[in-house]
Amino acid sequence: MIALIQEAQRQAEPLSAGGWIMMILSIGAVTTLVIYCYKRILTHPEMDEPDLPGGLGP
Amino acid sequence: MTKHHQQWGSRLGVILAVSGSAVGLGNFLRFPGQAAENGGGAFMIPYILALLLLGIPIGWAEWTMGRYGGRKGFHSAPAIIGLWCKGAIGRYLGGFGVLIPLGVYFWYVLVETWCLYYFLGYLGVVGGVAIDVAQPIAEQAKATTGFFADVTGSAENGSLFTGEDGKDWGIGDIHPIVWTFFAVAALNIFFVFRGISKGIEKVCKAAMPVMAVLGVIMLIRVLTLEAPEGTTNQTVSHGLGFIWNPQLEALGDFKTWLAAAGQIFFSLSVGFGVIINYASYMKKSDDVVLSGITASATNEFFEVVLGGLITITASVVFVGVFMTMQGASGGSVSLGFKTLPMVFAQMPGGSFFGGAFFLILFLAAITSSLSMLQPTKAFFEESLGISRMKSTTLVTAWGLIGNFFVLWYSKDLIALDTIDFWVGTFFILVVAAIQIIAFGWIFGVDKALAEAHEGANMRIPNVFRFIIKYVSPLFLLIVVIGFCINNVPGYLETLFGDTEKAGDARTTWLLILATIGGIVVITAIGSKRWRDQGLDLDGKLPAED
Repeated sequence: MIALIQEAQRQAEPLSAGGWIMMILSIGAVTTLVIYCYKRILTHPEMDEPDLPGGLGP
Repeated sequence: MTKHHQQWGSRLGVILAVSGSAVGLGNFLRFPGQAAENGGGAFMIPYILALLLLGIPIGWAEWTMGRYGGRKGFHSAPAIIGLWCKGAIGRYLGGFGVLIPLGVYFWYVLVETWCLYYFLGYLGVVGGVAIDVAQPIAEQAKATTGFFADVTGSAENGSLFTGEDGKDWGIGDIHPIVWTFFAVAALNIFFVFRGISKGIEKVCKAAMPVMAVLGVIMLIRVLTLEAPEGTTNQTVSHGLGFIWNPQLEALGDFKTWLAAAGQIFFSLSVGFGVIINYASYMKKSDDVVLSGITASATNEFFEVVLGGLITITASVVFVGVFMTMQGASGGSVSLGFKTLPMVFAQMPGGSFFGGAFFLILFLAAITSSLSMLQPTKAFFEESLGISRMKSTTLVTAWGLIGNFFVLWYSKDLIALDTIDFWVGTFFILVVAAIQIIAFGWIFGVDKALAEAHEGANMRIPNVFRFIIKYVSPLFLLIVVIGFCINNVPGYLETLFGDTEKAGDARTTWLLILATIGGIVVITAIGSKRWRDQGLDLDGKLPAED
């Protein structure tokens, strides 16, 4: 418990310059990747193929 | 044989369904806790490496294996993994790909029920958690912990069914959470029965955007928070600093790397048996490369952007770093169901934002639980040759047996924890290892990547040939060894101990073993059936074009 309190006091710091950099890089990278992927998905036409043979079931 | 071939309605549908399966409570609650505990911003370095070397390659393998299996007429993990492993050993090991989603469904639908119950509590439909904000934080914590214990029945086995004194068996003694569970289970069964495109795809197409919009609203609210005077004196900057300030010394600790790999692994749902099933309903011309990375990116958006900014930040502002650390160190459940209700109680407009948050968690949970039923349903249909109605009935019955088991053995949540650890964590590593070895070594990495590139909208970079064959299996091996050293002894001690808890853990293992036995028998029946039908269950023929 004491260790947890000490750790809590140590971590009760405002966002540092390093924190800003890691946060912006991480969030920026993920957001860019999502936008890139969905842009490609939504602008690339789907190929319209007939249903395949095979398949199981009753 | 009558042809009965389900398919996704659109490419966006399958991507959102896979993303919906991956996005769960772990994105909003587990990720920020893990990051804060393991080096803050520095955690992102091993996290992104694990995404590139483990999550994305195994994900691509799973998407490709599933689509290839579908071309051969298979939709279940035993059949598809058997196909890629070229024989019966792979087929029976593939049974883990049914055990995992079914076993996790046994408890996951109950957590989903808690989310709905808390949401209904904020709406005032059921009795919600009563927190007196004038009381000290420790007293508020007692209130939320007590409420959670009552809702989960964690004080005593069977307490959700027998009233407060543990002796009454009347209908009126059943806890309202049990009736909520029936409603949630019925919803799941209804949507799974409706099928891939009319059920699961429609739910995910509606739920994912709603989650994203509510998440962004929550984010704006959290980033503009101010703690009431005289409380924690913490600001949003302190909350963000708690998660994002890098402690570079943590990078020298193996535990940080293991935590990052574990988070990526379990968050993306690779090795779960779901992607392989979902991808089997794709057409041969459907892209799996861009779709796979888009689904992973969607999951990462919910995890890093929304999960990384909302929960812990709000918690630090209102209850301080110490209580937040206590909540996060107790795991997702503790942070979500015990700490955050205190946060919402103090937040201006807290009822609305609390309701919105638990609605997000419920939607995240239902899109995941639907994905757990579908692989088992497909397994029954193709192994036993039964109709959709019969397979739904069978999976419903099997699911309910597991659900009631977990509801009954509720003391200290031992049944839930035992299934989560062995089935939902340990066996996932096993399935992922089988998949990456089958993809890179047994089927052959060149042939496998050529298969992945069929209909692809983007090429997998050449470097992944080396990563898939050597780096991912080695990385996974290190994760498995590290995971076992850190966790397995404790769980074995619980299992073979001489306490009431150990007895409940052993009883839970009987359920797991019975489920494994059932899957083995049905796989044997299916193998005979597929062979009689002349299907290529050992992967000796090229796929149909």
